[in-house]
Amino acid sequence: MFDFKIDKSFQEKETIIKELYDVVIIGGGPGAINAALYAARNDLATLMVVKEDGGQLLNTKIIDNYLGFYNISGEDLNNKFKTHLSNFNVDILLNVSVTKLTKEKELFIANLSNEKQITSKTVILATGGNPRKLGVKGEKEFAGRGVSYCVICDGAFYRDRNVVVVGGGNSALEAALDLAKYVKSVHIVQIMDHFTGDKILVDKVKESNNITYELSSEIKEIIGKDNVEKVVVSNKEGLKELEVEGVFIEIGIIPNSELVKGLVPLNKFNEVITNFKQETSLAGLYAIGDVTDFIYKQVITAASQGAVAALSANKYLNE
Amino acid sequence: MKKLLNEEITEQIKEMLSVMKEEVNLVLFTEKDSESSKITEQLIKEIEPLSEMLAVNIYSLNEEQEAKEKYQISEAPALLVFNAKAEARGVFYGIPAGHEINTLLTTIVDASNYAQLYEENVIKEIKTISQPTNIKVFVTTACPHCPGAAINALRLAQLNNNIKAEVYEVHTYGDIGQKYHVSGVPKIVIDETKELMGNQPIEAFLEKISN
Repeated sequence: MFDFKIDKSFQEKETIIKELYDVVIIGGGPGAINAALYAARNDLATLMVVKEDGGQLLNTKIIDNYLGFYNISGEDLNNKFKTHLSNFNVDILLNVSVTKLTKEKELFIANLSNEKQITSKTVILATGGNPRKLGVKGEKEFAGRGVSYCVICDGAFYRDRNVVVVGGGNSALEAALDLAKYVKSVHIVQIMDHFTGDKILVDKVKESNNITYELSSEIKEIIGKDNVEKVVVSNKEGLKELEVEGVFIEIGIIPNSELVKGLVPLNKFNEVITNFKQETSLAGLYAIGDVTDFIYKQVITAASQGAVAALSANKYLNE
Repeated sequence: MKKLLNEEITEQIKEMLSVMKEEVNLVLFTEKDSESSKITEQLIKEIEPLSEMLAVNIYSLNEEQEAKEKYQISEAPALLVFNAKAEARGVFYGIPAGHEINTLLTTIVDASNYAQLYEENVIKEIKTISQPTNIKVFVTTACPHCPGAAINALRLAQLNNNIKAEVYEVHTYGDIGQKYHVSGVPKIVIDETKELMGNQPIEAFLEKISN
């Protein structure tokens, strides 16, 4: 029967922007929400600037590695986070992005997409990332015509069809397992010589009747007319064509670090370099979650980093 | 008949609609022997009593030619949300179930004049669009990113007479989905030729409309 999924909104009233904040959190994911919670509990004047509600978390169908919430969907967990936060005093700007961030004397100035400006003593960058693209011929042309980055959104279009999943981490393995329930076959193409996802998922993939995989392989081209018809796969034996109608790309994320480029050092993956207190090289600027150089990109690690950043900001403000 | 909305969802909808400021009229077109029309009709009838500010009119496409022509609707189920000035330039085609309940509820609250829909600078830019513009947004009920795109399109139509927005739930409207080669959602098609994928911010809609 029909299911109704009411999204818990971040706010139900208009926000009146304060002249000066103790902490501005840029982002709306788990890390940002937990940072806001910890900041508000320390009575800091806190503002969240949220470009898009939900983000990456909404692409996760089932999460069973967030302690206390076994087998919960990404959106339900997100709703629980927001409901929890709604008990605290946090200003929130929704559907607004920060276009420029500077530090003048001891204060951060953030220019917003709504042409307003905000001032804060500290900033926590929690801008996350976007799905990484393969960068092969046909990917852009067939986006939405067979190429997808969201199994939850688009999986149902491929019922009883053959699809390929690109990647070998948790996201790729979960995508393959989810698709396998209703598509004809799933073929995983992983560039490395092993899967990088959790063993529990790798075992499930190996046990599946309609999932096949090949390691040390990569997609070279996506081909079709109006929609995807096949992919060209390169492996040790050379090139081969694979007839598929769907290509699900799950090869990690590109950090949204553009805002602080030039302000603080980034690593070679354009991730913001932080220390164990989530501090960047610029005093008062912290970074958390997928935008940072922290190796594990998990909901629980992002949330934990949010707590650390807010506590670090609080300590900095009290010094 | 078994209720579509359980107690918990009913309470959540009541809470969402409690912020409505002005009366809103929902107009639903149904079609004889259409299962999706029957479900949408039941859903709308369950939502109607959840706010005193909400009224519902249901027309049968097969029987009520005048209404069909007046609102330029040729397929059902089709839902229009009218504000107190009796204006509606957006149509939702399909059953607003799953995540799409958010599109319907937000559009109702928007039409009730609850709050300014965008920042001043954005509204100003929307009002400058002078050419007739058609926006189609293709969605599915399982897609969590879809209401964002659908709501932006419907808000654009609400703010500018020159813009018409149509949201299609493609599992109900498979033929239209196929015509537009939809195999990923949300998919946005502007003036039949310009396409955008994903939950795009309002700025991306405006850029695509003007280019």
